[in-house]
Amino acid sequence: MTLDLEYSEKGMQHNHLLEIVDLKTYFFTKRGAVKAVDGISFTIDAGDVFGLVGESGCGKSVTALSILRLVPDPPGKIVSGQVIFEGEDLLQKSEEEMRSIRGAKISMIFQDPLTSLDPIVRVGEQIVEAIRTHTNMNPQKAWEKAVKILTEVGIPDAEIRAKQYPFQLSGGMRQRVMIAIALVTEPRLLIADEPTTNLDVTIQAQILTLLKEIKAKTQTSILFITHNLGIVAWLCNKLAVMYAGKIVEYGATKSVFSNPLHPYTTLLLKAVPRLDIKKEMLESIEGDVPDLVNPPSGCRFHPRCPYAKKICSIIQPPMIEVEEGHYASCLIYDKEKWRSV
Amino acid sequence: MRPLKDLKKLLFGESSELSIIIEHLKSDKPALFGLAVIILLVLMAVFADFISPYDPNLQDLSRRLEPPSWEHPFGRDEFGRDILSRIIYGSRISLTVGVVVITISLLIGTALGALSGYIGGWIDLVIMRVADIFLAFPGLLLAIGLTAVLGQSIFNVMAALAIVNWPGYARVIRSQILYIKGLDYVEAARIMGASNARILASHVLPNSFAPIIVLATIGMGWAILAEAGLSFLGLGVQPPTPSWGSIIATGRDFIFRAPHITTIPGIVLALSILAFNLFGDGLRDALDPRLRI
Repeated sequence: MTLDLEYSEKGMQHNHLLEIVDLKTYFFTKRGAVKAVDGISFTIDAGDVFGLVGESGCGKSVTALSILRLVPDPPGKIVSGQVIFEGEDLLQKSEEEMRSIRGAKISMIFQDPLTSLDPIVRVGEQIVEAIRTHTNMNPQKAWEKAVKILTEVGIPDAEIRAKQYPFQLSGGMRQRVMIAIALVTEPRLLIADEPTTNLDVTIQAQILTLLKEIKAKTQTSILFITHNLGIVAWLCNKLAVMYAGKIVEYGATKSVFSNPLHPYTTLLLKAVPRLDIKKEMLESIEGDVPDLVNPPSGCRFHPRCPYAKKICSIIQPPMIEVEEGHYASCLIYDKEKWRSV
Repeated sequence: MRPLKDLKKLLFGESSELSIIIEHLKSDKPALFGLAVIILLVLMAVFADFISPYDPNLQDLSRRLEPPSWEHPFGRDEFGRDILSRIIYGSRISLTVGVVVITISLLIGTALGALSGYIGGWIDLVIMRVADIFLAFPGLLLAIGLTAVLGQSIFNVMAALAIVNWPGYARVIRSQILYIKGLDYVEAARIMGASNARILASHVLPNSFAPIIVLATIGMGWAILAEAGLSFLGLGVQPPTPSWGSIIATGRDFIFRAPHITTIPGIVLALSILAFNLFGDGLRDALDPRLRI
């Protein structure tokens, strides 16, 4: 809230760092349009760590690429919507303007640090390149800055490491280098697309701790994309649950975890293994992820939903604010319609 | 050995790509043999004026077709010229043709292959169909046709061979680029705001070169052989300039009376091509990331 106040004092007209409004990104294939992202909206404020959760193929990564306008075109296309970043709609920007935003104001780190670094360029040089793409800093100073940021992301002997090639670094260290590259330009928003999926558990924990430290130390907001609910609970203050190209639940992490509203979220939480509850078998959600060329009519989750009624296959449920700031898109919370059938 | 190692460290770092390749080649005997022969050839060509025992064009018709002796280890040809000297000078032609042809082929092939692979679309279609047309002809036959049209000179031989040779490089570069441009680090560079030109120049192309280096090494052998072939047919270097191909060609008439005129340059030619191929194979293994760790 205080941050919002500061902004309005500076005369800025917006409160949100990033506001996505009714974003639709489709992939046009021979079989028809794959509706990978189909009308999602959410906001990220300064200082937020926003979790975007969902199973594989639900449109999380496409959302990230849409923000950066890097959806492979063809076949992909942002069909409609707005991506308002610092008060300006990124979808209206020219390619050149986007280039000055990518890496400078919005950075991204990926799933696989093993393949995200150029194998034949020294890691220090790769950081220097990121700096010099967006500033005129001289190479000497940029190199010093690169070494400094490597130290900051927890790489010991940064001076030596900077001169090495990616294959000489361990997986965890490479992910630290990726984070260093993403943060060296002091972006407003860091998009982390499953940054720990390919790392082993101890290294995962270290990288997540690092992200948490970054959040505490810098102004950078984080959009954290994952399928791991445990990580979201630990790291994020807000989250959105995606299912088949749509957001089904959205709210503060605390309220979503203590009071999950959408049946999909409830089932997802039940599917998480827990140490404190003894169970023979983990719960699973019946059925498969729907075909995004011909998604189910009405609510996309209704074929797999244990509570589904006939009306669910007819009406697309709107986002309903059930608690303050906690939304779900399920007809159960539309009392009139739910009772009427 | 010590100062050499320090220099290597200074130039390429403790364990850079290049020093790994050198380490690998050290234990590859055939490749080392190839490299030794190549170095020998280069020295021969560079220092021909100092090491050749006689003037390669000095005739002595009274001693024509003389077989190898201590005085003339490779014998004399039909004009009584010293064959060893002619082979030494001939290496200049062979290596020059090899280097020039490969350089031109590389430049054309890389430029067109990079455009084709990186931009794609109709540019790709046009360039690749043109390449296909060139590849559809048997290489040497097309080169013969081209030299016949362009006229007989060593420059035209080089031009013809480069024209015949570039489509192979274009194809390899294109396929490399198609593969590399889909890799995460290229996407990462784009996400960091790098422009297309920058991505192509500093990430995609440098990563595409490993197979090209190998292809170029083996291509040297091919170019040397092709030049010898064209000279053999009388389309290349004009007498009296010595070329391995033309020495073999003139010796053909005396193959029973003086077999050394054809066989000795033939062996030198075969050995050179073998050397380039062995070295190319060694490089291929050294550059193969699956054989590392």
